Amino acid sequence: MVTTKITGERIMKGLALGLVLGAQVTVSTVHAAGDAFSTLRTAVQQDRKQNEEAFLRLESLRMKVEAGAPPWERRSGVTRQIRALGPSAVMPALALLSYDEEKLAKMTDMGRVMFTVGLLELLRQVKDPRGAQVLRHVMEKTGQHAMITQTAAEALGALCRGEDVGYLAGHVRAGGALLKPALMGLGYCRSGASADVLLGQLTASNDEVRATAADALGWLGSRWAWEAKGPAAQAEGDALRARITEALVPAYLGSSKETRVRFRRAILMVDHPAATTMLTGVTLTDAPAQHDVEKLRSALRRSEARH
Amino acid sequence: MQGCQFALVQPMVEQQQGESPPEQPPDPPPVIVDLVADNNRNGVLDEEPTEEAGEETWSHEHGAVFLSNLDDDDDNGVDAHDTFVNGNADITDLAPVMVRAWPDVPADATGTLVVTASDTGAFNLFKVTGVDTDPQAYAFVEDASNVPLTAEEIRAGVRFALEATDLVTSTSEEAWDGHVTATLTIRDAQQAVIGTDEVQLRVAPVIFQYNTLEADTIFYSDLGPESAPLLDGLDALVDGQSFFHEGLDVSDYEYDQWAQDFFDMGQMYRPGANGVMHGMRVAVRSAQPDRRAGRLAQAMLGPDVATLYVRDRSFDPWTHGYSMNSFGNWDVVPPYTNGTESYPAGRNIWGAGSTEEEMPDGLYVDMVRAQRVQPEIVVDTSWLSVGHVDEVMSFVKTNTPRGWGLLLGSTTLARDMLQRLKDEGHGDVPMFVGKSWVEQEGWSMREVPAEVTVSEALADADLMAESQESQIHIDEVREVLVEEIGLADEEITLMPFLMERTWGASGAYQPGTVNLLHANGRVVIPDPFGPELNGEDVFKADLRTRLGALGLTVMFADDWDLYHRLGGEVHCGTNAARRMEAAWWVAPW
Repeated sequence: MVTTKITGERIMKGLALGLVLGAQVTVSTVHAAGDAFSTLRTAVQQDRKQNEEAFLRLESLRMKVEAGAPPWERRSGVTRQIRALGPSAVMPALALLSYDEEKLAKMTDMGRVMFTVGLLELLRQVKDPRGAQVLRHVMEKTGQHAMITQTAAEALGALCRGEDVGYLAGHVRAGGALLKPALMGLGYCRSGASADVLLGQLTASNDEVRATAADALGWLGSRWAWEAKGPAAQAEGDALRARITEALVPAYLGSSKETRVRFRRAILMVDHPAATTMLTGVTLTDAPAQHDVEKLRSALRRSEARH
Repeated sequence: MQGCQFALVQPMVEQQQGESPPEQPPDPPPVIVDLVADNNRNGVLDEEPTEEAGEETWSHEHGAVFLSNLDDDDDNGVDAHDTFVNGNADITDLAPVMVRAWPDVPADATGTLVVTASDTGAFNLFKVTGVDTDPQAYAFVEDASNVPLTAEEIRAGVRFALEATDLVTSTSEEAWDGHVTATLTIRDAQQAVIGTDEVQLRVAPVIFQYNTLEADTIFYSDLGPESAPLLDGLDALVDGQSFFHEGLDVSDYEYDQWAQDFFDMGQMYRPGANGVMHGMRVAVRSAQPDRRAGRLAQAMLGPDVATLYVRDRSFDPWTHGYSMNSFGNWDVVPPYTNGTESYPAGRNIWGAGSTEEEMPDGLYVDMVRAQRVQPEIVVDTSWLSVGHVDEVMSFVKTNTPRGWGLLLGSTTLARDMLQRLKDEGHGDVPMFVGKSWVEQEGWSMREVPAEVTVSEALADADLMAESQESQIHIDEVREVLVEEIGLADEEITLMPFLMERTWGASGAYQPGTVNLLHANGRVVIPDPFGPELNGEDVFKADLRTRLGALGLTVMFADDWDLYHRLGGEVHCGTNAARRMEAAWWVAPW
């Protein structure tokens, strides 16, 4: 149950109506969107011929959300269901996020944001490179809910190809409204190139930018840490985690009181023994900061004991 | 004059040696200017010295308690909102205050009773004009700031009864702090003061329940057949027990299945005779104005059940804080002492973040703080997509010296258990067998199975990263609880489940086993649908063993469809009314 109790019969009737409306919307939005997504539209149409049920399934979920999501609805319940549709839902999702986006625009604000984030989480999970163009389109739209922009950036980062990292790095360099989502998106790519961009931001002049870069480095390192139990992965990830740790620890020691906890978490997420070594013997004149260092050392010991 | 009983000073008569003692005049009758309330908290008005000691100032050592009479004993609305006593049951909700009889009061003396509070509308005073078991004998006092008493009344003694018309709802200096002062003054014919006596009373706060209190009733949202799997678990919970479960009909309330969230049960009570607490339950509606199921709490108004609804109407439902107003985010640490700090009624605990958007409703928070006797612990839950404390912690009865313990979510333990299985050659064993992430009427759920093998889960870098980050946040919560409560490691039991990223934060990927219902030493845990070896769920077996060792009876409920995949678990879907137990009045605040 996503929102209200809807019988199967009502869904099917509504679905039939929705598909008719959807078809009309598609025609109108093709004009609005021009040919920007013409290649995608063709691919979606081909996919639909072989994969009609996936389109209907996603549409039926959309209609349930559209029917009205009360404010208390747990958003994760909606996004999880969309995500769970898996790779078969990628093409219908891309259609909804691009040339067919007016269908989303007609939903209630709450329903639209929940559903859109769900679509983007699906793309973030499936990591299908066919979504790159659409993800850039979504990320660059202005005036939308921050969660949409952020999740689109994360999905782009999760693709983790050179061009995706380059695109996000461009927004980092541009330093505009998309700087923060781009940094967070890079945290989803555990490559050295992505790490290089983020490490460069640890010396940024803006406190919040430095802390966001640390957040993202924590995510990036973590994608090697727990998952990297196998010997091969361990070897591949170890050098990168060490490099990140060597940059994060001094950044932590120089961080402001307001952002220190974020650097702390990042160090713990990267979870590399170099942190303990680097913090051994560190003494700060600021008593609260020194206390925090002690607590971090203790947390690192606890983490190491779990290995 | 304070103290209340005193005799007229006797003239000294010097006795001469060798003379026979002169005849002593009889002792003059004592002057009795005595206002009596249940200062010694034994539930009756008596003549013990403790009934008088320090009565002019309410403290954790002494002082009478009165109730906010917000229940409805006779089905005509809130009892305190009218000017009469609502039947025999309502009499017991009133706190007695008595002008003790002074049989020898001069015939021309007069008295005055003055009852004051910083908010004069905060209480109702009744004068008992007949038999005190007759509701008709309770006359509403229009002006409690000046209640005249005749010599005849003082001679016979006068009974009064006090009720509060509202709760203390704010910590603001301008707000009523719950105290009422009553002053009795008796004057002679020339208006000279013969004596005065003063008592201070305090209104009972709303005490929020902790899990280890004995349960009377377990509530759940009744969604018909969809509730059946959860109900199976609740049936097992109450089987052979002295408490029962009750379904809440949410069919008119958007089928809101989150029974933990839209209401909470509190209590208001004062000491009664023979050590039995007397008071009422308080059904509290969540500070979520557009959450219709909250009306169910308000509909619970009745005999010995009051209702409470405090919220800021302008609170933004888009914020994370909105979800934090759900009562899944509000729990109570059971009573404890940590060094010199003692919390006899326990401590409220709730989750919040660091920004305004990640804070629960400020008016509601202030109301909770204003109750004073369960000072809060606040932990960071902003990293959770739903943002509730019950996603990562639960307090349960245990057979340990403290009598209760903390259950704490652990993604590390879950990862280690899965890794061990893989290392032992069981990586291909599936979990979530037969379950689906998608609820889709009209479609077969089997088309989108949730089934995943141990190795697949461990190889999911996103899942592992989020689980690792969650563990860091849980560790921070643990640090706060250990410091505040003084918990030893062995008092913390880890509950395994992995967490995934959704809506920019974390949520349980495996059923959140810590998000359980505890009642009287029995727990209903979300079925983990974990990997099975030799026909046994490895996660279930582990929980049975470790929680069983704590003296808990362990049961499991299948909450997957209606709760887990929609972002919650057993605790989120249930609620409980529990018995009054803690003597909150000894709390040093």
